[in-house]
Amino acid sequence: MSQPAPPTQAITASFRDPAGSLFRYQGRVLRVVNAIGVADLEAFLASPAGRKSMAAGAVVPTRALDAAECRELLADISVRELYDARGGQMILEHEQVDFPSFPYEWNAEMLHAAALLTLDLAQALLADGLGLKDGTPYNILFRGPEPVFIDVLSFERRDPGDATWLPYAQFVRTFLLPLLANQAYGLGLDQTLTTRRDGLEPEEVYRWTKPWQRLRPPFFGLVAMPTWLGGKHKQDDTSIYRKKLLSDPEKARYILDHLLNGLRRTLQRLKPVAGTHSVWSDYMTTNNNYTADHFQAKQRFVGEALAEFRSRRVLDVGCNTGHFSAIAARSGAKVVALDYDPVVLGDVWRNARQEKLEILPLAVNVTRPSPGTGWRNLECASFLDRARGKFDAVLMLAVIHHMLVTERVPLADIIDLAAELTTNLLVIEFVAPDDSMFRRLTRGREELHQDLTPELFETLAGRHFEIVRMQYVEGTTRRLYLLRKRT
Amino acid sequence: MPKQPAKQFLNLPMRAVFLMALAMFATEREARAYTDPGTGALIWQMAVAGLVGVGFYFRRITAWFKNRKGPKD
Repeated sequence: MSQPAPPTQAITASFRDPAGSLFRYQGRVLRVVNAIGVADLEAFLASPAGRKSMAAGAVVPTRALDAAECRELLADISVRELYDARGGQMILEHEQVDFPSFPYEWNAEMLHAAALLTLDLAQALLADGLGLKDGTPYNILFRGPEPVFIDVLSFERRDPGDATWLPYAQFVRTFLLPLLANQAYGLGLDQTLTTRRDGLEPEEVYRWTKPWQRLRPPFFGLVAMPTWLGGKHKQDDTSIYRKKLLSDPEKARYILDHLLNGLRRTLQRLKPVAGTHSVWSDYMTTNNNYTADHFQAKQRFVGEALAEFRSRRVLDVGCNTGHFSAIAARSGAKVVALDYDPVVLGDVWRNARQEKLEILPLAVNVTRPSPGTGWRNLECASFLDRARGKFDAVLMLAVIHHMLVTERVPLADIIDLAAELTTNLLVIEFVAPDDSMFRRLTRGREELHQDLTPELFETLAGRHFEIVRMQYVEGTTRRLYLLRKRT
Repeated sequence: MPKQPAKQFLNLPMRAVFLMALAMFATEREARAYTDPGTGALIWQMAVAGLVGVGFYFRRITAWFKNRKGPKD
């Protein structure tokens, strides 16, 4: 097989949308819009529902650049080339979303919230004669725990007689079936969405179902009927794709409302519930190693460190229920909270939303972080490419023993990675091999970690960081370090 | 929020859909490899839309009768 040619374009831009391309330029998020997209976009920007959804933060604030601003941008040859290649007619600038995340890093609660936002917008826009061209979670990013719709080229003017919601199948594939697979089979979104850009096919889920399940809602309408009908359809018959317009707009609207309300009910049925249990969900209440006094001392240590150095962007690695993420967020920081257990992250998301804390929970295992995905691995950047140098404080609390023992990552590499992620602080808990939790993980392979001493830790940390202070947490087996990156 | 259709209009069509499904279930066959991904869902959407459309006229007729009765009361 011949190797594909290397990319020649100076600017990497999105390419799937026929109406335009998104690109980053000097830290700005810009979008070229061509002749296909201009009229629909202008209709959206001028519509009451469009303005309202932007003001409310449901759609990312966006403005069209004026002629002078465009001229200035187009003076750069790489922007000019992109603009010309895509037939550009206007350039938009979007407000930045701090940390882009992708559906395969979300928990089920977040996909549910994104689906609800999609339906809310689809229904709100109907009153202004507008609709959605597509229904995919890639139209949405999260700011803290709140979803925001970012693809303003997804909006289009609708024919009042059109009773078909064209994004229906995609909405089912990318939102409802992954939620169904999560609820019915416990499949995380990383399992269903990392390798599937356009979600789960009904035919795929059909094979997992029991015969009796197929007749029960929501399997019946989401899985069984589409599979049976699709299987019986003559493949050469393309008549079903032709746009069918009803002569009575009132009837079309009635049908459309019924359909969208039906999807809303199905979505409600697939809503993840609080109180689900997983291996790690009870860690904070029963399954940890700390006495109340020690835990309070640990909280104080972290809180004081973040306050002293005024940390504004915090990455919490192995956040569990998000206790320390919440401490950081309450002190005014924007937090990205990572854990590989999407069930505990569901609680983190719920709490953050309730308390209005700027916490973005992501189901990312830092020892196996999300790869770059899509065409040339460039459409969605890898987690590390998005995270490097984006945080002024990284928390690694009660987590390194999991990385050392379960994942077999050497201590030096863990500290190297932390130094890549943070620009300033690292608050890290050193867990010695004679700690009871450490021993629980080693399961008799203690000799593999014999050389792991606090002295070794301090030597390795010293390559990138200076030790600001250290505090024992639990007896002498755990130590908290506040480290500051050498400049 | 758009107005939700009353439950009673749903029941009859949904029952018909269910019977239709049972009939299809009895004659089920393997899905073909090249089935267009969105085809089944699109046909299903149109089938439901057809039934809801019937419900729409049914609602219009009942509304008309109610309006006729109204002035006499």
